[in-house]
Amino acid sequence: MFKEILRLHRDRVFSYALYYLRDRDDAEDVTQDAFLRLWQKRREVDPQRTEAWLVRVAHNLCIDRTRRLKTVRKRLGNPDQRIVADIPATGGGSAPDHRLQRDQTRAVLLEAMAGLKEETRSALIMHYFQGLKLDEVADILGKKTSTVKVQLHRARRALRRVLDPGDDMTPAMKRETV
Amino acid sequence: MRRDESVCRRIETQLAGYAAGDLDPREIVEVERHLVTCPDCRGELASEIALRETLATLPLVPCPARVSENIMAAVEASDDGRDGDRRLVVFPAWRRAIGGLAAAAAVIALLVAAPWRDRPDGTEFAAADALTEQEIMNARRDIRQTLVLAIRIIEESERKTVSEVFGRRLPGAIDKSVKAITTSLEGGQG
Repeated sequence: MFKEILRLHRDRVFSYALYYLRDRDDAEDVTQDAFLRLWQKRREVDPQRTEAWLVRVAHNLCIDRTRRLKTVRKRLGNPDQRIVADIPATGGGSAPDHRLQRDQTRAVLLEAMAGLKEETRSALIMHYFQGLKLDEVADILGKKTSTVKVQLHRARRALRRVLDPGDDMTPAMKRETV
Repeated sequence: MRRDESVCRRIETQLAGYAAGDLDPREIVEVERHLVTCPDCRGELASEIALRETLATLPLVPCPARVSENIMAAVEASDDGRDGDRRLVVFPAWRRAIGGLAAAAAVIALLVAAPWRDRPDGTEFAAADALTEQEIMNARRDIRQTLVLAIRIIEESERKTVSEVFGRRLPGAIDKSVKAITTSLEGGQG
């Protein structure tokens, strides 16, 4: 039973930690710790909400780890670049040119995500990548749903600024500057 | 129609939820009513959908098999047929590093100690006899790597944990490694 839960959710938890921490070893440790906590709390966790529970724990572990590693990374250099190499290549099925363009966009996107505030990045990964609902993201982050909506809006704006440098303002912002 | 900036701002924050089908019916009506009259916010929605599609290309990264194996090993070790609430064994990076650190330290100890020891036939025992040049180079490389790791351990771990590791576990591990290598060398030459 636990093995099945592990099989079902391990890639999502690992991916969350990897996209958040941008370090494979740290992501492995977080994944391990999250599942071991699930094992210890398995009688208390609602089976319908196992994934959200795991993401919440992984998120908290990521925060702890980020705080502890901040000084180390300053000293040893930021290993953020490694994540691009850690992410599997795009599968076949599309033209090489298209694949290359997509991979380049992905690299830029990852770089842009790295520049977001931690909480905004979390909301972005949880909602867009993990597919969690807004109220689930809010619950995990301990915020109001309306706050999460604003964070996602900011994330969209920040990412658009990087992906499309010529268009860095929302329509409302543009109108304000006129 | 004159645009209401405050409405646009509010609608913009709703677009992620709207595109995900994650708004309540009242909010959906409000967004759609606004979109009909506001081309800018329709453009913003297109941008939201484009971002959603781009982010969807980020792949799920497969969790390495060793992580699952570690988890299951810890779970099985803790499951003694009762509730399995015994403390689980965890394998963080710093604990995995102890073996390497102990081995490197043992090599240092050997390099220092070896020249003063005698062979059974009375001739002097030199470090060069025990370790090839390649082994010494490897040891130096390991030492460099483990020193970097040691810095990480110190920075990452709580003071208490570090004190426990460096105060008790590591000296014990080094002692064991030195004894094992010394015994092996003596046995091989006897």
